[in-house]
Amino acid sequence: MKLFVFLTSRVFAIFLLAISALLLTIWRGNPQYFSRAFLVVPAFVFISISICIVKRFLAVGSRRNLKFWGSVVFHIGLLVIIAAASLGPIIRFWATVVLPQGKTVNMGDKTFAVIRNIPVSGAIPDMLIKMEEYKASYADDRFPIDYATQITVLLKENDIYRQRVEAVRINAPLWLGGYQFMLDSGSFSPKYILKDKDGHVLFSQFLDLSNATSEEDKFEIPEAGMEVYTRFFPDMYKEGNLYGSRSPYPKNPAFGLRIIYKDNPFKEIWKGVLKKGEKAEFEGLSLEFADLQQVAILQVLNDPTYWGIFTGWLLIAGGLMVRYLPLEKALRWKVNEVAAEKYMREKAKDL
Amino acid sequence: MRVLEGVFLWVTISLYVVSLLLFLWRAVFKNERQELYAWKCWLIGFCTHSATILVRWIESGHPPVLWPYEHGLLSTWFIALIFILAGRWVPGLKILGIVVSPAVLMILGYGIMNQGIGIEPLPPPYRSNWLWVHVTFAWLAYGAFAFTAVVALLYIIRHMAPRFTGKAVLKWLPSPEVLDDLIFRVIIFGFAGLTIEMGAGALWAYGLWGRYWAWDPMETWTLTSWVVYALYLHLSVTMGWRGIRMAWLAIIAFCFILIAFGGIAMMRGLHGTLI
Repeated sequence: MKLFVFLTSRVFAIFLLAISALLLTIWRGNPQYFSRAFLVVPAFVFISISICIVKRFLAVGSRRNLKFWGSVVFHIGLLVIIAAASLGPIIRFWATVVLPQGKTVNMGDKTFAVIRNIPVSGAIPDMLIKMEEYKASYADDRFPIDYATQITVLLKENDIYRQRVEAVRINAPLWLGGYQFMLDSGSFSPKYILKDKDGHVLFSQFLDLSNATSEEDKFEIPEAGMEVYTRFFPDMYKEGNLYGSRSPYPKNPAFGLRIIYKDNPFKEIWKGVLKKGEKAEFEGLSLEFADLQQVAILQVLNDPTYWGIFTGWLLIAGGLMVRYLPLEKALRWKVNEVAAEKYMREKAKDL
Repeated sequence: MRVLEGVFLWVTISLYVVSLLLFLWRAVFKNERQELYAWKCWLIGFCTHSATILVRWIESGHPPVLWPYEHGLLSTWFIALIFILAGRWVPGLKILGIVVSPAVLMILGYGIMNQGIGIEPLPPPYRSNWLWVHVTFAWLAYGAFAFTAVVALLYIIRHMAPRFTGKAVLKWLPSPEVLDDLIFRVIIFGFAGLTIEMGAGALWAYGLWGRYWAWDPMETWTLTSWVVYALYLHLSVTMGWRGIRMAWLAIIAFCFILIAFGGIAMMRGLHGTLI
């Protein structure tokens, strides 16, 4: 009984808040120390708040004023959020899908779809997605202002396939059959082909590179023990020995390349710029920048806990307003003499 | 930065500097008339500060929420606003300008000297109605917490100085009870603002990336700050704690806000790219 009283006391609630702050601080600085055992803290917070609400109802009796209800609503909001967040991993479906232009991707294809969460009761949805087109718009050819992709979704529900063709934008997802399709980002995927002197293909692949025009990226060709450092120029121009990009649009795509052997990183085998379709030839090998493909990354989600989080947040905000905003009690100040005199002088001036 | 915005900005800075000098004059020479002039300077400065924000908003087509310069403009506006409201309603608090004006000038200066003073359109992720709720309440909360930290600091100085100097200092401030109550009430506003900011940010993130929470450094430190301020309110409301230890807690809690915004946000993370 004593343990129950302690676990439901305000002192314990304050201890839980303090320990939560401490754990968050430690964990932020040292993520390696995170343990699932820490989840016991929000579990205790949930139990403590629940029992405190019941105890307060019993204790206050008929003296339930607006502030009481504000506090209760605030704490119920917290319970709803903790419950929704806890339910998330059990009932949420979440996948990140990489969509090369023109390719139809099955949700079960592990090459292109990374499943992040599957609901306990469900399986991977029977779904096909195809990216028809991707478009990025820029202001002054510099600042991105819109990313949009046209996708076709084929979703099987009750043995019937439903098809939808729709444009998806950042902040404007597509909703279909309870699933939300959100555009995460877009990029370009170059294809490189490495051949030996006899024309045998050693490496041929579309690559996932950052394609940021301001920094280098790299990929490896293990078959030849090489590392290739790249820099993307979507709309390449050349002035003297300097290369740059006129705009972020892929009007004249080219890559600046530096090729090295992994076991001799200080010696560059080849260095230069390749436009689409061009080859670099060195030491009996040839590396071709063969193709450039548009890629969109989509988040696919079915998560009923959204409404729990949203409702909890509204309850918390509303409860706080009701609890604290009716400032019927004036500031409990004892004005010192100097301030009082000055205040009266100012008031007199106003009059 | 366009001409009109520049004119308003530099007039604002000049007025805040003059105001600071007058507040200092009042503190050194105990001339109360100077405090009144300083206050009026501050009010006019606040008007031109608002005009600077308005002009930039019209020119850019979006609220000032990109890069340190725009964040500096908006955060100092909220600090100035809370100072004006407190100074208007609580007698004897105007002299806090002696601490608030240098803080505002430093934040503005940091923003001006940093990158991103030119006008840029909003990037696609920012084109959401949640932006308004998230950023407005964030700055309301941070402004409130900054103000309470300043008041708490003065409270502590006033409380502890007699032990070392043998005499009372900052006698021109309101009584400790007034300061204590002021800290408590402004923290309530800040806490409500922080709560709304976090909720709006989580729901916005859900629509953008499919998750409410990414444990981004700023998110985690903001949650930690929220828990610490919740602790403050619980200790104050349910345990009845007041006075010097709560003033210390208000300052410690503000340190978490400083870490959340000033330190970690500058590093890599969802927030770090644009703040």
